[in-house]
Amino acid sequence: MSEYENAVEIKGITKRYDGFTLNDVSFNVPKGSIMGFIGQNGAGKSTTIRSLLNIISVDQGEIKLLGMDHIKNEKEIKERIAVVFDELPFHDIFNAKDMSRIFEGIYPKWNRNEYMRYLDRFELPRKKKVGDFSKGMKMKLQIACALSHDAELLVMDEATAGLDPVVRDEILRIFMEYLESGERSILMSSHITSDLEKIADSVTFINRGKILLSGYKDNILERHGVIKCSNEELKNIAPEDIVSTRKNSYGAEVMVHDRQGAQYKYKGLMLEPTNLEEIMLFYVNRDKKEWA
Amino acid sequence: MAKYISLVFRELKLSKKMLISSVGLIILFIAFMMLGMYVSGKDAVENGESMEAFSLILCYMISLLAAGAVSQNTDTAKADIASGWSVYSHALPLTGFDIAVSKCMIKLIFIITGAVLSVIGAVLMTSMGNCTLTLGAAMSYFIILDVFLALNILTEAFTARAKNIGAMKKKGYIIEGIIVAAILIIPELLPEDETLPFNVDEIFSEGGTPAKLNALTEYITIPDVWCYAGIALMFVILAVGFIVTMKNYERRES
Repeated sequence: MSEYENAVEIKGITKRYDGFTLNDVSFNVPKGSIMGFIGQNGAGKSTTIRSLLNIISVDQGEIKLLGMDHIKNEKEIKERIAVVFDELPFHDIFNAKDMSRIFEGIYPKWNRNEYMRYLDRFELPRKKKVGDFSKGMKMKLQIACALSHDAELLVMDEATAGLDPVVRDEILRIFMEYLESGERSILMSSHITSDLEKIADSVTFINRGKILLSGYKDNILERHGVIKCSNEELKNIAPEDIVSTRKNSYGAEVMVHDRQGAQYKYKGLMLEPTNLEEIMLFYVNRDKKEWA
Repeated sequence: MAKYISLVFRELKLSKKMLISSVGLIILFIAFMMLGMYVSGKDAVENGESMEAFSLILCYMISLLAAGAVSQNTDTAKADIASGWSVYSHALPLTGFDIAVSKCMIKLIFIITGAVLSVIGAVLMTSMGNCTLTLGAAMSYFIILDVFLALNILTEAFTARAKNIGAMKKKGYIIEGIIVAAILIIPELLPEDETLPFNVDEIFSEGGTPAKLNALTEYITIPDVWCYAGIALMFVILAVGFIVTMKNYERRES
């Protein structure tokens, strides 16, 4: 395996569409880690992923995968990465065996035995047409294909969306195994934050084409907290400490971006740890300051 | 080489039904033509007429059908868009050259199948008509195929960047509309040919004479040089198609 520090390096990518702009997006996925790329539908996750795969061209910015330029070294990079999309991109008439026949010519490191092991593990039939597969089976097949050519980087775009919790859990376990060697990395976009909370080392939040927050997951979770208070108590909280405020019939929930500082500063108030979903919600509504 | 075998396997599996139905259609058509030849042949022999012009026309009809049937293998493009493969393939270590080679190989498989069947049809028609198999009768397929291939490439160039089936169909309808309009308008713009060496009505009436039939045969016989030019042109069109496919794949969504 080659020496590189970050499996993914994105610096200032900008892509303008009519009505949407991916604006100066930058983040890194360190080698050997899993990054959760979080955002609501239409936030710019797929555009970012398609940009780094050179499926769409960017207007500005620099992208490196496995330490190489994503355009100059496109073929070499794509031999060493794997991609999983939210929908199975294989024709309905093919079966699992056909897919091995197709990929063994496309990927120089295709491992047929490994692929067959994954099929057995996922209990996927080899000769049944993929058109007759359930959503979960289709996703498992796509993952089996992605993991059978010794890829160093796995890029997933909403791969667990629409799957039931049991299948999602099984797939997340497979990803953890995949990362065991410390040489492989995963970039996983999702709006299901609970999945990322379980397995991600770092997270990047994106909203309306802009990065809101990026860093190590534990660090982000430690830094943020929610103060539950009355409307009167809310007046005592300094605006610069607040990410945004959710109003409810009992009062307000205030997200702060410095939990330790807030604990010291607002001693009489109830301050609770938070999770990625809450952080996403409070940051997405940051412009409104107060929301219900 | 393993890459091309894999890609051709994929394309062939996708277009297998189309290939089988094309072969079936051509064989069925040849069988009908043979029946027509058999029925007309009996009358002609009794009247002492030559079957040469009739068998030539049937050869051309078989060529027309074969060329039309084998050049319509563009359904894989639609299937690729519908399944998401056209986007996914950009995440694979494939180049425009790889894609163009595999598509070209599939086209050649279809073309060769059509060529073999149209030559078989020509051999059968001429032998049943008790006349000589000319190069024009056997190779008219390639001349007709050139037209279909050129139209296919034009359609491909126009529709290849469609993001979904709906957009692809819309673009397809536009280009088909333009082609149909051209087919209807162009003949109207050409000057009328008043130099025919025979009268069509007379030939097909009771009073048709061998001399008039010979004039018709001579008029519709394709010169050998056209056949060679047709084959050469086919390779030129395939080369253009290759470049169009390659460039279309290399272009990225803007």
